[in-house]
Amino acid sequence: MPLPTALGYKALAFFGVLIGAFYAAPYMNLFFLLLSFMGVMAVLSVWWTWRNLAGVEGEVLAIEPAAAGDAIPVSVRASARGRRPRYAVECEITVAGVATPALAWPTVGGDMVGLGTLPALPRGVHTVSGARLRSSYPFGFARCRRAVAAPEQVLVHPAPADLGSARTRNDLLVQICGASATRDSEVGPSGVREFRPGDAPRDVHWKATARRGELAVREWEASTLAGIEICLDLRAEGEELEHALSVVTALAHWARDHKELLSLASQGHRGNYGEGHRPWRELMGYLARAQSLPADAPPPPATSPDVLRLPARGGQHG
Amino acid sequence: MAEVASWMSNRPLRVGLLALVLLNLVFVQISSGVAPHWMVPMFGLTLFSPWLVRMQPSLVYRAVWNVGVLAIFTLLVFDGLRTGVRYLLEDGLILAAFCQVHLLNNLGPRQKPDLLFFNSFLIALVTSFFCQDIAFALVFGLYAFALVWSLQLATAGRTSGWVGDGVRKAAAVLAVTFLVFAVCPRDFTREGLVEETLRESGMVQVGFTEQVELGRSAKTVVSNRVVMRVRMLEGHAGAVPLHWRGASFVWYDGRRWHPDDRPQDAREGSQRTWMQPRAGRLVRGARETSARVSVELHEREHRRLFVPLTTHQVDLDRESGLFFMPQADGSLKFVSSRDTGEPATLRYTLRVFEPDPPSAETDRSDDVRRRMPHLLATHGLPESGAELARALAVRHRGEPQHRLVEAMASHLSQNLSYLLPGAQGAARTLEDFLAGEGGHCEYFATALALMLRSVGVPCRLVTGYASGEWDESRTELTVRSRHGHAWVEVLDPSGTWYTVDPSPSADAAAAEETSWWTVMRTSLSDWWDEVATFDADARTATLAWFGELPGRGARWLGRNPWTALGALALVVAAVSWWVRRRVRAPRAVQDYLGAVRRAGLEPRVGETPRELLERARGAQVKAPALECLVRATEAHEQARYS
Repeated sequence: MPLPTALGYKALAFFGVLIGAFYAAPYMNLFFLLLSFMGVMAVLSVWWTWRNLAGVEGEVLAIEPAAAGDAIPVSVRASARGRRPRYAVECEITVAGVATPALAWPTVGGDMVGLGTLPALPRGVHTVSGARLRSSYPFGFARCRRAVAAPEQVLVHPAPADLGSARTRNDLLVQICGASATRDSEVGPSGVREFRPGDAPRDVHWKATARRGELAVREWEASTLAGIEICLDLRAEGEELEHALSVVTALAHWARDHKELLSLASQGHRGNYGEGHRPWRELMGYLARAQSLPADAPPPPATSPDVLRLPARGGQHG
Repeated sequence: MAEVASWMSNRPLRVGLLALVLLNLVFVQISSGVAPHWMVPMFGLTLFSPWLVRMQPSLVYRAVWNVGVLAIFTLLVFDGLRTGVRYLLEDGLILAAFCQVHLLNNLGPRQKPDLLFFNSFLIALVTSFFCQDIAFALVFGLYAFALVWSLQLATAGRTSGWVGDGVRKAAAVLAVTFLVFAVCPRDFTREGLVEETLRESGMVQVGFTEQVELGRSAKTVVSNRVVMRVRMLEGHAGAVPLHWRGASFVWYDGRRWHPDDRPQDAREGSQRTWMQPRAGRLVRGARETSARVSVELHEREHRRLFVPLTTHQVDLDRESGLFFMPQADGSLKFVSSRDTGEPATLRYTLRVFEPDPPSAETDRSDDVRRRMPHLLATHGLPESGAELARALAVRHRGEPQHRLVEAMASHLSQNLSYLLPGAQGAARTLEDFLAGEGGHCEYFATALALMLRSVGVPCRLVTGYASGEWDESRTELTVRSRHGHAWVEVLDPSGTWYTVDPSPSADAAAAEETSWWTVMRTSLSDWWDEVATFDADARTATLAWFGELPGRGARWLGRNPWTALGALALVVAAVSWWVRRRVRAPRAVQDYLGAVRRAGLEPRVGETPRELLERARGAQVKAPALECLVRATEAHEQARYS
């Protein structure tokens, strides 16, 4: 059901004043004619607004994870039945209780997929309350809305810290901790897991496969500074924790871009990410959800003293 | 996110808003409600707004505009305090028009033009009070389209097909509006809650009046309300006089004419005395009837019958329950005998005679001065008028009196201009009028009457209606409120009265033109007059017409079966063409294919638009066609993939 917009309420008030003036003054044909014109325009505009959105369906296909402070990419599909084009259709997504227009089509005809953005949000996992297609075409007096399906959450991970011009792992560590890596890394198998699409055929563990009856692959874990190992202590607050998370994010991006592995250990969490291991999206989700722990909380899992510890507290890496 | 562009970057919207403001100024111009020295700068500021708006970031620029609005508002407040509500509407119109121009030149890039839309409609509404002729209709038609387009562009930006969609929507709104106007029941005679205030404002309506006062400068409202309808029963239209008298005035005090309200003295027994042989009939003199007409009178406020000077018999409808009250000057008042009220429309028939030619005598003023001195009183005549009268009298010395009368009337009508009260440049005194400022019919009649009296010609001022609005068959005469008029009746030395009208007449000149433009303009004006004077009777007739339409259509079909079949075939053909047109490819695809054809190429199977574009570049297609193909390819991609 179309509802009045701000302009519509103003028009209603204006029309009310004119009605009063009409009855206050002696009857005049042209006065009545102009009032009729305005009334007809208002009524028809409501009808045309409803008709503009009738037969239009849509869906928010995906809301991509984004860094805090960055616009959030959104892809939306809209389809209009029939040959009649629809004009000025917008997609509005309600995130964390705030409705924001994400995308606007000047014309919708047939099936269309559009890319839009949501405004930047702080780090976290934000609930999507709903999404709607809306239009106030043609005159803007009334607005019609139609609910569409949308993902339930928006993932906003920490903004990556600036790693400058680090090109090697050593550079990274120097930049972060001011120390150099002393040994080369060597990757060794740490276990066996089920086969996932994308795993290299050479990593297939044939004996385990024969035992299990399904494909199994070796899982590799860096034993010493192989890839990047991070121990994240969540017993930090505010800016310190956020900075630490930003550094982890930046390291994850670096590792992803350089096809390195990243191992993260923290209170209640331990995982290896990279090719053949857990997906990077999972790490971003963890980082988005990470919450500060009190000072008397248990420490992170024990790791080698060579592991990069964050937040960095002065020369931890030896 | 793709937002609707702000109005500054939306060029069609800027043009639409400019057109709206221009049309508003045209509304104000056709209402003649604002002086040219206000209008010319406003037109200029509007037309130059695309350049002026570049100075908008400047604080000085914005300050100057705001000071301008405040200054005009202050002037108008002072005017209101000085003159009351007399010029309320006119001053409000100036302020509203200037505010429109101000908005157009000062609207920020992120502001919405909502106020501009509302103000534009308000101006159209107010000007409808002052201008109800075809000019308003034509401007309003353009305004409706401009408003619809501008609202569309402000809401949706520039979308493909916005022009056609806007035309369809504007046409639909106008069509439904006129339908609502025709069928919606309402009280056509409602007087309103503030009629007293409007009356105090001095705003006058052109029409019959029992008070003739020179010097009123209030704005005049011209109404096309039908006052009388006259139908020929016997004779021809040429025998029906133009002037229908209501009241006469004999004494002028320098500003106001005083009416001759004496009742008729039946003992006088002259040819001019009304006799009542039976109830509902009045006769005077035994004359040969040159025409017999029936009259429907809708204006009963003044309780007067309007009859030509050459009427010798009046028959009132017996059902009316009214009684005649003849006056000494020959006019007819009536009173009602019923306790239940008067009929809405008065019906009576008249018989008129051919007027006698003026006598060849030169003067009988001594006799008149003795018996009717009030007909020669010249109080209030300026010296310039007396000199002019003396000069003309000298020039026509020795000639019959009527020659002098005609010469004086011609001199006034040819040398002085006609202006409605309240119009720019209209005279406020008789002296100003005789000095050359324009005036309306009361000025012309007053000047002639006093000038004639100053040279010994007895006469009086008469008010009533003067209409030449015959229908095509010249069997029905329509008399409207705007036909209210004032003229002079002169007492001929033979003792008869005859009519002299010194006001310039545009009707006679216009009636002689038969060009297509005049015919079209007259037709449009007649149609618009139907709208402006729409009343309860017209509404009833319209509804009856709609109700009879199916039956009339069925009868026509029965009488013209082959024509009906042909019309049906045309309709079927039109519908199938429309259906076929609807299944065509989307507009962007049509444009793309058209651009490909213009480039002289044929799309190959499986070839993408980009590949075809590359092929076009390699085939050395001409630059204009190639550019068109590039644009069409981009538009196609945008429409297809957003």
